[in-house]
Amino acid sequence: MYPEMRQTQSSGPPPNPAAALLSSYRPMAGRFDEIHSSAWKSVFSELNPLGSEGIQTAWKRGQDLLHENGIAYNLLSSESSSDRRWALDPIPLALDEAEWESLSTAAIQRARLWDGILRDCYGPRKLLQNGTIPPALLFSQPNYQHSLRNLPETNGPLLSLYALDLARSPDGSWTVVADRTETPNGAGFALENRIILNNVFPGATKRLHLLRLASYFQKLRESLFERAPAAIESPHVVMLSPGTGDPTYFEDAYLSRYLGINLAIGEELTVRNDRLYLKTVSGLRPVHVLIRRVAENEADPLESPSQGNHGIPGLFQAMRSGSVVVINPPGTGIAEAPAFLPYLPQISRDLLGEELLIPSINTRWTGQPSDPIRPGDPAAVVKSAFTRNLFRPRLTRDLTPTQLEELNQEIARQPGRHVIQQEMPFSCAPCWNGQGLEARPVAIRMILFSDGSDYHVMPGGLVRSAASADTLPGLSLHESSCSKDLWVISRNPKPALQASNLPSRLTIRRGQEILSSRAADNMLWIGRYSERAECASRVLLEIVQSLIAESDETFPPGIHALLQSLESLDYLNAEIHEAIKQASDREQIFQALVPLFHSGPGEPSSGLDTLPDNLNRLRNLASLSRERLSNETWRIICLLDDLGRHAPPTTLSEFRSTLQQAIQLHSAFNGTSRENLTRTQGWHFLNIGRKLERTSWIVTMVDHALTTYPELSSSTLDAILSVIDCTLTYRFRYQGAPQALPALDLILFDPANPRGLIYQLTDLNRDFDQLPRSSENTLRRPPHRTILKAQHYLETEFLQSGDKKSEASSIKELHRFVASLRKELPHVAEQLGWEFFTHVTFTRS
Amino acid sequence: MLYSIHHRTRYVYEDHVSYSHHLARLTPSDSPLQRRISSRILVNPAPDILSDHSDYFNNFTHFFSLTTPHQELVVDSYCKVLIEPPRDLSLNLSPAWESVRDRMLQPSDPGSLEAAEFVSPSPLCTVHPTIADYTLKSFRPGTPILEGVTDLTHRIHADFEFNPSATTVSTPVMEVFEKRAGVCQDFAHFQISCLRSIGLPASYVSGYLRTEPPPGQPRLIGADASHAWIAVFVPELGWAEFDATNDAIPETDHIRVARGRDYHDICPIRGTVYGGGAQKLEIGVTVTPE
Repeated sequence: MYPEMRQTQSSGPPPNPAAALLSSYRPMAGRFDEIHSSAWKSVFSELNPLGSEGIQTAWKRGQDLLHENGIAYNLLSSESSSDRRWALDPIPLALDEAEWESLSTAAIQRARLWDGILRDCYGPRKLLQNGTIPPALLFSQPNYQHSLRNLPETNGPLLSLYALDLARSPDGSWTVVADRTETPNGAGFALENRIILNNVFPGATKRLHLLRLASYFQKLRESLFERAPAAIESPHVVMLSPGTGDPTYFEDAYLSRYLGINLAIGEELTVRNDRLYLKTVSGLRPVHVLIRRVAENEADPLESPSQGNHGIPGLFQAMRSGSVVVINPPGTGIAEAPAFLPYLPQISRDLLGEELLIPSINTRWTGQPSDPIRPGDPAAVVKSAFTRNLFRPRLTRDLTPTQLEELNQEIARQPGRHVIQQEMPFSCAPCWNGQGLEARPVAIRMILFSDGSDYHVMPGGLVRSAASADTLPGLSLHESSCSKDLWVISRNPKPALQASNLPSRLTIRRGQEILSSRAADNMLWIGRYSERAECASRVLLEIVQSLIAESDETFPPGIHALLQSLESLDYLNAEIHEAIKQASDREQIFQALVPLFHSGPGEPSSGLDTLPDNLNRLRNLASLSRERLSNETWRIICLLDDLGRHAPPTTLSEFRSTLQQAIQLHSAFNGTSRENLTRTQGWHFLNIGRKLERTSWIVTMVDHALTTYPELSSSTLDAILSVIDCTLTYRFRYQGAPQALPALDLILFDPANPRGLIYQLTDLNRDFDQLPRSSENTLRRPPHRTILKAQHYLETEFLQSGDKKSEASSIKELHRFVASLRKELPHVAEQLGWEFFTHVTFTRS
Repeated sequence: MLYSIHHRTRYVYEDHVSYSHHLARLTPSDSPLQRRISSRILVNPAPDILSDHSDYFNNFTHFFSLTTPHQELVVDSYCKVLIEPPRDLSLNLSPAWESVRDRMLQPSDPGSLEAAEFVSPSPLCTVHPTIADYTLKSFRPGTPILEGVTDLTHRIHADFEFNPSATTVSTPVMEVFEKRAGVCQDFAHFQISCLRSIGLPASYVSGYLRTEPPPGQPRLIGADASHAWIAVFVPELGWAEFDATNDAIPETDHIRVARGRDYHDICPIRGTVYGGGAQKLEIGVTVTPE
C-alpha cells in the first residue's frame, strides 16, 4: 500500500534493535553530513531508544494517516495510496534555531529582492535603464505577463507567496538552488508531514522544543483576509485550483481546508461587471482575494490565449478595476528563470543596497557572450534559461566530446536559451530505508509569505531526499523523490501558542450554508446518476426475469417497450436492439445485455451509456461532495461502483442475482439519502436530480407503451409495473392480468404510489419551493411551472374506463400529455442550470 | 488625408452563448502621423459592460461582456482618422544596421529602450539561423538599415506568392518560409522574424488599406480588408514602416489601428464564450476617403 523504499540492507536478520539505527549508516564521501549538527544529536537521542523495530511500529501509524488523507482528498486513488506522489520519510531533518535564524534572514532578504525585481520589471524598469540587466533577460521571458504591467497590484507586494530551495555545500555553507515565485507549493505538504510526525513520535516532538507551525498558518490566514481591497467588512478569500486532475490538488484541498477558505476551480468563478464572483446557488458572491494555484499563462485565457481551461476569462479586467487582489498575480513566474541568477548580486546592491547573504548556485547565462563548455570544466547541468522543462536538462559529465561539441553549437545557434549551472554535491542526511538509516542527498524548501509589508518564514519546511544515494533529490513536486519533515530545534522552549482561533463559546446557528454552484451541480448529478443506474438496473432485471421465466424460446412480448426505453435513454443503439430482437436463443440476448452492466477495463467505448460508467461518475462526484454525504451513503456508493467491476456473470441467473444485489444497494442509498442527510440546499438539489431522472424514466416507458395502443398488451403493463415496483399493489387492488386504465392510474395518477409519476412531481414541486429565490422576482420559475402544470393535470384529470370509446379517447389524451412532458423535461434541467449553475437569465428573443 | 472607416464583425453561433467576454482592438490610436478625429463602437446585443483602456503597447483597447444569451453577436466599429504622409526617408542616410543591432543590446535612451523589446522572439515571430541567412543577403556589412529593409521588402514581395489558401491564422513562420506563400499577416510575421533573427527591432502593425474601386464603379461596402505590415526602429528617426505584401512604404493609404510584437498582441477581437458550439465569422470593412 505504500511505495517501498529502496533497501540497501537486504541480507541478514535485523541486528540488535537498540544499537541498529546507525549501524549500517555510511557517510558519503565529499559531502557535508547533517548527522554532525547538534540538532540531529538531540533528535537521535529521542529516536535511538526506539530502535529499528520501534520506528517500524511507530511508522505504521504514519502510513495509515497518509493513506487516510489520500482517501479523503484524492478522488482517483480511493483504493490505495500508491499514487500519492509525496512519499514521506519518518526521520526528520533537524536544524538548530541559530542556524535557522540566519537562513531566515537570508530568505527574507531574497524575498524582498525578488519582489523588488518584479515590481521594477512590471513597473518603471529602472534595472533595464541603468543597464543592470540586459534587455533580452526580460524580453525573452516567454511568461512575462504584459497585462500585469502598471496594474494597481504593483503598489503592494507582487510576491506574496515565495519559496526557495537550498542545499548545503561540502564546507557546510548554504546555497540557493532554485526559487519558487509563480505558485510556490509545499506549505500544505509540510503541514501534513508535521501533523503525521506528531502522531508518529508524539513524545519526541513535545520534548524537543521544536518550533511549531500553527502560528505561521494563523498569521497567513489573517493576512490573506487583510489583503482585501478597500474596507470590506467580511472579505471573501478563495483559492483557485486547477482541480482534481492536477498533482497539486491534494495540497490545495488540504491547505484550503486547514485555512478555512473556499477552494474553487476556474469554472466556479466568473467575472461580471469587472468584479470576480463565486457562483453559488444563492447568486453571485464577490471574491476579494484570490490565491492563484493555476499556471500564470492559463490564469486569464482572454488576455493570453492558452491551451488550458483552468483559468477565469476576464480576471485581469477585475484586477484592473482594483476589486480583487490576486496572490500571486500571473507574471511572478519570471523570477524562477535561472538566467537571472548571475545578475542577482548586482541587483541586490542596486535595489537593496545590500550584499546577498546566501549565494545562488553558480550559473552562467548564454545570453551574454561566453566561452563554450570545455571537456575539463567542472561538471555542470545545461538547462532552459527561462521556462522549466522546455527541454531536457543535460549533465555535461554524461556527454562524449562530440556530444559536448554539439551542445556548444546548439547554445551558439540560439543565444540566451540556455543556462550552464555548476553541479554541487548536496549534503546528505540519515534517511529511513525500511530497516535502518542510510545517507542520501537532501535539499530543503523554505516557505514564506508577505503580510503586505514584510515577510514571514515558516518555522519548518519541506525536505526532499533523493530516491537513492547516487541521485540528487528532485526539487519539483512532480519528481519522484521522498519528503521529510524539517525540525527546527529551539534551545529556549517557547510557550505554545493558542492553536485554535475559534471563539471559546459559539452562538447557536442553523440553516443555510452558502452552496457553490458546482457543489449544487454535483449534488444534482449524484441524484441523477444514482437514479439512472437504479432505473436501468430495474429495467434490466425485469428483462432478465422474463427471459428466465418464459421457459419456451419465444421472445417475451412484455419487454419490447423496455428495450425501446433503453434505446431512447442511450443504453442501447439500434443495432444492438435489432440483434436482441433477432436473437435465436437466450444466450445471444444474454451476451448482448451483459455489457450494459459490466465493462472490462480498457474495452473500447461504444459511445453508449453504461451502468459502470454511471456508477463511476457517481463515485467521482460523491468523492467531491464527501462533506455533504453521510459515511454510509459514501460506502454504499463505493460498493455499487465495485459491483460493476467484478467478473461478468456467466449465466442469466447469476446476472439476475447481481442485479438484485445492485437494487438492494440502491434501496439502501435511497434510504440513507432520505433518512441520514440534513435538509440543506445541497439535499434539495440531490433530490431534484433523483426525481427528475425517475420522472424521465417513467414517462419514457409509458410513452413507448402507449404508442402500441390499442395493441397495448398486459405483459407490457406488467413489465412497467414491475420496474416501478408496483406489481404487488396492483394485484392487491385488482385481480388478473393488468388492464390499461387501472394500470396507468396506478403508474401515473395515484398520489399514494411513491414510485408513481404524480408522487415525483409533487416532490419536485416541494423541492423547487425550497430553492433560493431572488427577492425581486416572486414569479415561479419556468421549470417549476412545467412541473406544477403536469402535477395539476394529473390531479384534475381522470381516466374514463366506461367503454371502449371513452378508453380510447382517454388514452389518446393521456398519451399527448405524456409525450409533451417527456419533451419538456430536458428543458427543466437546462433552465435550472442556467439559473443556478451558469447564472444567466434567459430571455427568449 | 481624412478617412471614414466602418469595420463590422459578426459572429453566428450554432448554440446559445450564455455569457462572454471580449477584448477588442478596433479603434486607431493616435500616432505621430495619424490622428483620431472620432470613434465609436457598437455591440449588439447590448453588453453589460463596455470599457476601454490603453494596453501594454498603448493600443486603444475595449473590454466588453455580455450575459444575455445570444446566437449572434455584431460589433460595429466606426472611426474617422486624419493621416499625414511620412517624411521622406533618405534610405542611405540611416545608420548602418550593425550599429542599431548593437544599440539594442545596451539601450540608453527611452526610444531604444522601448524598441529593445521588439528584438526578442515572440510567440508568432520566432527566430531561426536559416531565416537569418536569408535576411543577411539584404544586410551586407555596413548597409544602412533602411536600405537593407527596403531590399528585404522587395525580395519578400518577389520570392513569396500571395495565396490565401496556403496558410491559416496559425501557420508558423518557418512553414511560411518553406512554402514561400501566404497572406499579408504571414509576410509581416516573416519579415519581423527576418529582422529579429539578425538582432533588429521590428513590430507588427495592423490596420486597413484604402483600395480604389475599378474605374467607373462605385465603392463597394465591406470590400476593403484588414491589412498588416511592419515597422522597424531606427534610433533618432523612430519607427519606419514597410509593406511587403504590396512592396510599398506606407504613406497615406495605410490606416494604422494597433501595433505589437505579433498578431497575438493586436488581435482585433478576442473572446471567450461560454457555450455556443461552432461559430461562423464574417468581417466587412469599408474605408471611405472624405
